[in-house]
Amino acid sequence: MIFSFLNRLPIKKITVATADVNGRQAQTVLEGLLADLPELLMACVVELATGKMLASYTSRKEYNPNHISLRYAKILRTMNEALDKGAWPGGELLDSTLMLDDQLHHLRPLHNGEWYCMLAVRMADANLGIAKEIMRRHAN
Amino acid sequence: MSPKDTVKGILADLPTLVAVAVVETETGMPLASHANIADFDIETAAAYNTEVVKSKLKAIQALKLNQTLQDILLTLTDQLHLLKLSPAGDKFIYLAVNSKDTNLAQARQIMKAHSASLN
Repeated sequence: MIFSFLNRLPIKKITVATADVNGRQAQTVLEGLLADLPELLMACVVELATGKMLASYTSRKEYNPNHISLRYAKILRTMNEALDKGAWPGGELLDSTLMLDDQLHHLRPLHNGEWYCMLAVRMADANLGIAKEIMRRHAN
Repeated sequence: MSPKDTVKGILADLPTLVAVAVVETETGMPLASHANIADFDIETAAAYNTEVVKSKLKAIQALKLNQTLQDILLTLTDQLHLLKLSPAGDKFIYLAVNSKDTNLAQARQIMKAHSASLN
């Protein structure tokens, strides 16, 4: 049986999946991002190999991190495979960005490439340079 | 403008680029390409790029954001890789540059200027 009130997405609140050291570390990353960029639409820290969510944040129910955590994990695995096979010369992946009509999604591997951190923000609230710098500062 | 003209135009604007290609989204194969380094396997790079483009489109669709994908940017240690879909979405431009001589804004602007006329 599905209880809708149990599956409701917490809004404007950091949700930590596990109460262990990894969960706390992921929470610290998101707290740092939110402190510097309170207008964040969505942010999450995800385990790359499994797509498991470690911590997440969303500003509204339309931006559900659970809907994209696995897909972005798959994209990063494809990118890592391309780099391992030498299809893209130029060193390791530092970050990746999707520019949409009025928002950007920025992803950065962390924790020795075992996790990734993703943030989504409106371009009216932050530009790519700011998003990259804030992410670099907190997801290291 | 044909894919070959697009590649030529980008190369004229950015002679120091690492590689440029116009890729068919459906097959992942380059329609026209140019690389300035000898060991660059443009076919393999194009194939992986296509997977990235398709997966990103799916991710955006999953969120039902009603947004179109404009650019995909990858920062590597020494290079920047950029992907931009054509207006119809059936092709995309792939551009790789050295981050020492070209910054993200320059590369994006050149790609934007050439993607509008790509058909």
